[in-house]
Amino acid sequence: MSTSSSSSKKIVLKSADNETFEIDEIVALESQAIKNMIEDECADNVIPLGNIDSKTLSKIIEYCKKHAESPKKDDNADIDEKAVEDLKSFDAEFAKVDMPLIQDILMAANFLNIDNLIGLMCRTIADRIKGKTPEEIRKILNINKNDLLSPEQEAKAREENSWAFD
Amino acid sequence: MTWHHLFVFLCKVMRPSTSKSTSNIEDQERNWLDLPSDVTANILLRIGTIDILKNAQKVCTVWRKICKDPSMWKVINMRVLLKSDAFFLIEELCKHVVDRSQGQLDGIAFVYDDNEALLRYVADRSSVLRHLMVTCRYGIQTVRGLNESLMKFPLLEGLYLYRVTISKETIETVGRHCPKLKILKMNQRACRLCVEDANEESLTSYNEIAIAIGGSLHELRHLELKGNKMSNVGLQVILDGCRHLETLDLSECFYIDLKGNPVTECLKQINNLKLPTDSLESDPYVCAKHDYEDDFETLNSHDVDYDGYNSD
Repeated sequence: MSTSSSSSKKIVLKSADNETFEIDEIVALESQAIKNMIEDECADNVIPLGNIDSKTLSKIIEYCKKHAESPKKDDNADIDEKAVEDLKSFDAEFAKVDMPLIQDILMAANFLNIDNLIGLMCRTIADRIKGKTPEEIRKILNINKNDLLSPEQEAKAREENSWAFD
Repeated sequence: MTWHHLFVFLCKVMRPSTSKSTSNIEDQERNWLDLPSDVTANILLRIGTIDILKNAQKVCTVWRKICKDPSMWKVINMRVLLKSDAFFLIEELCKHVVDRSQGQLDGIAFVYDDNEALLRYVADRSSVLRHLMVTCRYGIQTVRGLNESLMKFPLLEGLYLYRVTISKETIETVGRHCPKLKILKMNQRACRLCVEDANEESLTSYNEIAIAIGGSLHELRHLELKGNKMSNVGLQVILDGCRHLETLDLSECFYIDLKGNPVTECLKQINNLKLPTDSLESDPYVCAKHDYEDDFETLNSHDVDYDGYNSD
């Protein structure tokens, strides 16, 4: 396992509110976008992330740290089951945050291209809206009321499903 | 304190934060609709077919548009649908999803229950299907319409037949019409007691399937033949004909006798091997399992568990 020794290469990320986070390169590589930047050598000492605030960024770094330290799935068939369980429970705890933050993390994870984290956030949101009515979903996700279906669209949607759910 | 830290410190002191406040409701609303549609689709695919039809597509116009896209309807898992409260609508539901997929159906876990017409409905409208799983709902059955349907899936890569009576014609049909087939899994749940009945004549017919596989499915990478009655002869034909095999599961194939047989040498070339005598509890088959789980990941299917199918 990579120990975060002072000799390992560091990357500095700067949030929209100008907070900087110094992290091991291996942690930053969890982000495919940053990985590409580093590989293409267009990453300076400091990588500015103008659309991610510090609260979101620190959550993301927490996630990447944990996942960078864990053995990867495809390393070997003999993965330590305990490590897998450990990562699972970390993910479950990690996702126990309020919806606005989940949304910010998802947007940022999408921007940074962190596949596992996108999946985790999508799964979390899906779990929270499963089995809920359209009205309840709008409330949970705080979806803009200006984007509601017109009465005609509403009728059409009902008609399409008339064989099943109405 | 490094120069860098000082810089950050000064930035904080001298400038108010420009980050958006998470308590700003307007910001949050705008953000939801800013979410790229593939990410929204990722969420919606996880809530499942019935929830999409009942609720999600009525949430807002953006979601409705996403739900209309054929790419949202690439996978059908009848097993999941049968467990839902809409199980009695299974046939209509499947047809509805096939229609919405507009010919783009990529994978289906079909539950056979004398519903040949439904299988044909799918086959006639899904020419790009890559994965087909068929399970019989009640006991082991012959699936009527299976061979004719297979002829209509020229891009098939994975075929999984559980609790299905297999004929050599089925295998030969696949050989002729599905040149891309890489994964074949058949689980026949052998009866251990039958071993004693084996004589030369019955063994020949027991090798039929194996001979058909070796003779026509040369591109196979992963083969699972749990409980097949082939003998060493059949196994040798498979190993001679399927040169690219990476995984081979022979568990419960009790007619194979590897003791001192030259076939053992050929088996050594296979990366993931499960022998008849291997403990059924252990699972050295992890690799193959991941392979097609990944396939289904690319289908954006999140609730399709093709592997756990026959575990009940």
